[in-house]
Amino acid sequence: MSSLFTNDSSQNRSIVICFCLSLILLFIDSRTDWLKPSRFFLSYLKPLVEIPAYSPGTFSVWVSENFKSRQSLLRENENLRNQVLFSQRRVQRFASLTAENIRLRELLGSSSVLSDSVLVAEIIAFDVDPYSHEIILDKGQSNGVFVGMPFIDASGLMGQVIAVSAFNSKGLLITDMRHGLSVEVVRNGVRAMALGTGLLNELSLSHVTETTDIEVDDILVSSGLDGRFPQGYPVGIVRSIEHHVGRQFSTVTVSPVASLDKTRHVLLIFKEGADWDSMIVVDKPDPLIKPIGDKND
Amino acid sequence: MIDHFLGRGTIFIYFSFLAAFILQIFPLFEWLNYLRPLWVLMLLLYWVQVAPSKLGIVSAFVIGLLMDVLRDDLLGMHALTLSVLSYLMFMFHRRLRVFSTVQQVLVVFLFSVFYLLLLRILQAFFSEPVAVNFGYWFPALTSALVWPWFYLVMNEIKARFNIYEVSS
Repeated sequence: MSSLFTNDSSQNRSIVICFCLSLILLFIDSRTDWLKPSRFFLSYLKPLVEIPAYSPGTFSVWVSENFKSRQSLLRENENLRNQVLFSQRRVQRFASLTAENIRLRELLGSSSVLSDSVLVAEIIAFDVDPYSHEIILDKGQSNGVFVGMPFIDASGLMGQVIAVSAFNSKGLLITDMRHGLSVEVVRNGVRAMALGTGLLNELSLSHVTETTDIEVDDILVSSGLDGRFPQGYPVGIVRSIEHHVGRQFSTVTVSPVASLDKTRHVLLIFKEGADWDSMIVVDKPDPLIKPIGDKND
Repeated sequence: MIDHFLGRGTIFIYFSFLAAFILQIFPLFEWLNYLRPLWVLMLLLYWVQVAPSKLGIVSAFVIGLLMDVLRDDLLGMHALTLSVLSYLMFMFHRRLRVFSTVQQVLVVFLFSVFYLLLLRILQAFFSEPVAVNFGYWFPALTSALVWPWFYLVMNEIKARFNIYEVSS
């Protein structure tokens, strides 16, 4: 007879149990790491939902890549050829600079330049929550991806990995409101925190005083002092500075240089021999060298 | 007991939730994300209403946990909200059956708003809250507007797959 009338007292009991249990779970999960293993175990179920959900998108990309006209392929080929030439010229310039840099570092007696090894990953999806800038990448634990791993695109720093499942991972973009990273100005080495604003084309620098030497069009690179992002990757260009009379800090807005909403491929960076203590050296980039972000050359 | 967990109807309900999860994370255009109906919540409300003997609060809790894992939220966030909402629906489901469509839409709207509100409150308590604008509440509106059609379609599917609630 149980199906004729649902038993209210048993409902009351189970809601109390479920309510308390979820509160306990929330409390534990928000304050400790104890639930990490079970979460990881459960994440093996995710492909069951993710594969059907993301496959139409992947399929349409496959179609558009496989059924291109000859004309557009030729055009793309030519573009790529030009880009290679262009990049090679820059690489040539970098080679001598790198050599010089290593020599100078040796003179200073500091550790050698880090050679970061990278892993190419493809963006499968943007997270559906419009209030967070999160992307799903097609590489996961099985490829050696770990939480906190930074990723970049061709032009600059994009964000970091915040969750890893077996075959996928979730990345947080630097423009997310919850994100912040330590940056420095290439011109003079002034450090600041670049915080996400929730807009894909804007970062803001926090606690920049009126007298700090930051100008419009300054190039910002990651400083590496946050212990998470490797040093020297371009982050953004200062777009505007507003000084407020009577307030302690000015508002500095920055345009990120990475094309956060356009790119399909990202490079995940393994920090090889990341010895952050020995990395912090007196190392101001020469203001004459503007290797990054000079898109208009 | 075995029949309760592995009966044909129950398995069908599990699969319907799989479909709802897929719809919930299906990538769409950026602006459409604001209008995405709360599929999982709607499906839960539907099943609690038409087959309260097949789906308990504990099932809602488990579905919520899976949702948390899927969305990488804190474990317990959706589990709590969905079990509370399903409990409310249990209290309401007999009344809802005699409601007119407009009244049902209103109830679903209120339930969705409560769901979103509860999620916000939990976020504020247990993780750093994300500032949201008015668009955060749009899914409640779309869920309510989609509900009559959703109800019809689900009834059709249910009839085709022979899922019968014994009585009440």
